[in-house]
This record gives sequence, structure tokens and C-alpha cells, in this order.
Amino acid sequence: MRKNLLKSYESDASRLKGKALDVFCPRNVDEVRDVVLKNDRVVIRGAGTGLAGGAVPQGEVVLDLSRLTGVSNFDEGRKTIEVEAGVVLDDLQDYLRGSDLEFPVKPSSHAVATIGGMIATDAVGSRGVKYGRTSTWVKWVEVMDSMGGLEKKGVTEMSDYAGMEGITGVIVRACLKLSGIKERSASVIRLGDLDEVVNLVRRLKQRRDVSMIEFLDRAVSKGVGFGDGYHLIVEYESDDGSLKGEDYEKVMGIRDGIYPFLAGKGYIRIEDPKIMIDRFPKLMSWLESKGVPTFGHIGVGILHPCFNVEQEKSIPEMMKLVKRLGGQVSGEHGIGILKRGFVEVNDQKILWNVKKRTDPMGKFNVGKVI
Amino acid sequence: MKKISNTDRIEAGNLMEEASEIFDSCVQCGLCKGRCGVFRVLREEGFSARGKGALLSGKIMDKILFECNLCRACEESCPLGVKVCEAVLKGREAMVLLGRGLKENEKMIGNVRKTGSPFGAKSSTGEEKLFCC
Ligand SMILES: Cc1cc2nc3c(=O)[nH]c(=O)nc-3n(C[C@H](O)[C@H](O)[C@H](O)COP(=O)(O)OP(=O)(O)OC[C@H]3O[C@@H](n4cnc5c(N)ncnc54)[C@H](O)[C@@H]3O)c2cc1C
Repeated sequence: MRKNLLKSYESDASRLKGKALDVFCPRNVDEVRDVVLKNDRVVIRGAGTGLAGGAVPQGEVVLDLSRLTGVSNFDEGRKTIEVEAGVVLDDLQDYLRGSDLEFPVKPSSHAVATIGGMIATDAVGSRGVKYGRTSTWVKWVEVMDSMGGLEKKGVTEMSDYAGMEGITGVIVRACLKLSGIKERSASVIRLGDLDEVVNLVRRLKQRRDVSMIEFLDRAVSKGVGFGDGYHLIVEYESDDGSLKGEDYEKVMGIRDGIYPFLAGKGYIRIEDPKIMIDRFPKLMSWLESKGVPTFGHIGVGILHPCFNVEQEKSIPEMMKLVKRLGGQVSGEHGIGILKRGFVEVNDQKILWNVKKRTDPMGKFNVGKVI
Repeated sequence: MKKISNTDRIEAGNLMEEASEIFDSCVQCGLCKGRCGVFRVLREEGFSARGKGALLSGKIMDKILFECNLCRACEESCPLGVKVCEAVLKGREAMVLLGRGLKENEKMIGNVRKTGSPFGAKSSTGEEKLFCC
């Protein structure tokens, strides 16, 4: 790639800066193999919407899979489809339009995130409360190893690749399971205090037609124009919500835009701790005391506190609190470069074992996750 | 090679500064890529608004700045309303001032000046002539 253009590959949505030696944008699996075989160290990239710096090169070549956009073997009866890694989620949904099916996992970056990136980070997103993580909806992945070998990995080996953020190999293709499209509506519910939030979330989770429970703290609620108090955006797969049609689309648009909105106000560093719902008020009180605006997928216990530059130094303290409360430091964005320091020693050992088994030459995403 | 005047050099520098400032508010979320017609076909980061922002923020002049339809789809999908097309135009203007515009564009303008047609052929059908300053 022209030297000038490397600059656009030296960062991702985490805004960490790195250095790319070169960038390759293969059009097919053979060209992917070529890149893999000819380079000692490779950083894999999808749409570069990752928030942990996983796709940021640190003196390696970048393998951009955005051009792998093939879709094949759509089987309406079995509700499956095969897609290449660079297919963008919304493009897949467009492709499926006309059938009765969709891919149900929906990160807020759905307009740009690739299926490869979603599997590699095991993205969750706002419908996690009903549909879980991306890997729940993957039948198999086809993975390229450091020698250029291709192998299909089924559900039993999925954890070696889904959520491993590219440290174990290149996901080039996947067979996805699909779900029936539902009529959807939504409501925005105002709540006075955190206990009310907990109680309502518990009740909503009992309902089978609830597919999204998103939390907005007081600062975020005000910022996006919902007014005073805490708010929940609840999506129903029925017409129980008060917002339908265009109004429903509008509120979903507001939801997708929360992080960019906060980042634009200087709250750039987004975190994704995961916590049990009964511990959530404790974490929230701490975040409020520090003035950190927070929103997130409360239905699955994932919060997105957003820190500005001055507040960033309190992140380790938050991580300690999260661990003390029995939570996880990353619920969906992954570890990448940003959160490496917070991985427990035991987890590191497990990850290293998987890495050594799957990528013994240490070719892929070195310096990420572990 | 065209000699660049000092005034043009300063003007070009100012334009690049302004283009880079426009991207100060970009948070690099990448949502602009979703609707960019050029990116959706060519699928390289440099063609997207975020990619161009990375170049302009680093004051890098590259002919890729001319690979943009100025359709503003990226601006519509940008949650922060970054004025991408304005920045791209400033970048292009700076490049032209420094004699780094596209040869194809220069040829087209030359043709318009000479013949009134961007293709250089004199109109035989009596179509209206184009003019260029
Ligand atoms: C505005 C915004 C909203 C977001 N909302 C959510 C959300 O709701 N839920 C959520 O989970 N995340 C969210 N994210 C984070 C991000 O969008 C997701 O993690 C997404 O799945 C990443 O996809 P990508 O194609 O951009 O991957 P990239 O950012 O390019 O890569 C992410 C990681 O995966 C690896 N990788 C990418 N492709 C492959 C492949 N084919 N094979 C092996 N490794 C690969 C990379 O090396 C990197 O480590 C959001 C991000 C933004 C900017």
C-alpha cells in the first residue's frame, strides 16, 4: 500500500496510535494465505471499530479482511448462511431482507462491524439479554493458521477463536445460525433511583418478549434529551412498547449514538465491566461519585462507563472494585492492548496455553490480550 | 514544474491546518464507513471519511483526497456531525495550490478553457459551451 495511506490503519475506534509496516487487503482466501506466509507478524483487522486497540499495529503488517465479502449457501429451511469474514453485519441483514430471517446479535456498531470482528471479540450488544453473544449463533468458523492451513472448527473448538481477538488465527469464513425476524417496539422508562432500576430489570428479564434492556444514567439521559432521572430503553418483540415504526427507529438511533456523543464531549475512554445486577448499584454509586457518565446493556450486566482524560487514572480503582464485586473487567469489547494489565495471572496462563497450541510461531496479534 | 509562490504555499498550509482542525472532533468510531459509497466499493480504510481524517490530521496530502464524491453520506451517519466534505475540499484546494492536483483535472480544465468542452472536442451539435476562470 502507498506509504501515505498507512496512517489510516494505525489506529481504530480505541484511538490508540500504532505503526503499520504495510497493509494488505486480500480479495480471497488464497491472497490471505499469501500475506500470512510472507510475513512474520500480522495484525488482523475487520472494520476497526474495536474499542480495546486489538486491530492497532505496533510495527507489524496489517491484514485487512474488509474485502472478503462473499455470502453463500443460504439455507432458509435450516436457518443458516455462510459468510466471509469481511461481511458487515448490516449488509448481511440487507442480504437476508425478503426472507423471514436475520442475525439476531446487534452491537451498536452494526452498520460497520464485520462478522469476523464480531466473532473475534465475541460481541454482545444490546440484544444480549435475549440472544447472548455472537458465538451462540456460529455453527463453525473456518480458520487459517500461521502455516496457511485452513480448518473448520465447530462448536467444541469455538472458544479457541471466538472472543480470542485474533491471537489464535485468522477467521476467514463462518457458518451463522439465523433467527426469525420479529415485529419490534420499544419504550423509554424513567426511574427515580438505582433500586428501582434493579427491580424493573429483574422483572423485565422474566419476560420472553423483552430483547433489549439498556440503561442510561442521569447524565447520559439528560445529554441525549430524555430529561431528569435514570432511564431504561426496553425493546419488546411484541407491540407492548409505546414506540413503534419511525419512533422506534429514532430511539434505536439515539441508543447507537450514545458512545460517539459522549466521546465528542471528551469522555473518550469507554470501558465495559460486567457485573451481577444486585451489585450494580454499588458500582454505579462509585461511578457517580467520580462524575463518570455511564450507560450499557444492563440486561446482561454490561456497563459502559466513559472516562475523560482527567478521570482515566481512576480506571484501575474501578477495575479493583469490579473484581471485588465479583464482576469481569471486560464484558464485550475485549482486552486488546488497553486492558492487558487487568487480566488475572491464572487467566493469562490459560490464554498462553491456547496461544501456544494454536499459533506456536507467534504470528498473529502479538502484544494483544496477553 | 510549476513554480509555487510563497503566498500559495502559506495559503495551502492554512488550508491543511483548517482541514485538520475539522477532524479534531472526530472520535474515530468508524460509523461513517457504513454509508460511504466509495468505501463500500473499494473497501480500504483510506477511502473512508475516518481514513481521510487520519491523513488530514497528520497533514498528509495524497491523491486519495480526490476519491470522494462529496455526497455527505458520511456526515449524515457521523454522530458528531464532522464536516468531512469541507475538510476534503480544503485538502484538495491545498494540493492544487501546491501543484499537486490531479493531472486529469488539470487536463479537463485546460480543455474547458480551450474548447468549452471537458473532453477537448469542439461541440458540433451547438451545445452550450462551458467556461472556466
Ligand atoms: C460506536 C461503537 C459501538 C459499539 N458497540 C458495541 C456493542 O454494542 N457491543 C460490542 O460487543 N461491541 C461494540 N463495539 C465494539 C466493536 O464494534 C465490536 O467489538 C465489533 O465486533 C468489532 O468488529 P470489527 O470488524 O470492527 O473488528 P476490529 O475492530 O477490526 O477487530 C477487533 C478485534 O478482532 C480481531 N479480528 C477482526 N477480524 C478478525 C478475523 N477475521 N479473524 C481473527 N481476528 C479478527 C482484530 O485483530 C481485533 O483484535 C462498538 C464500537 C463502536 C465504535
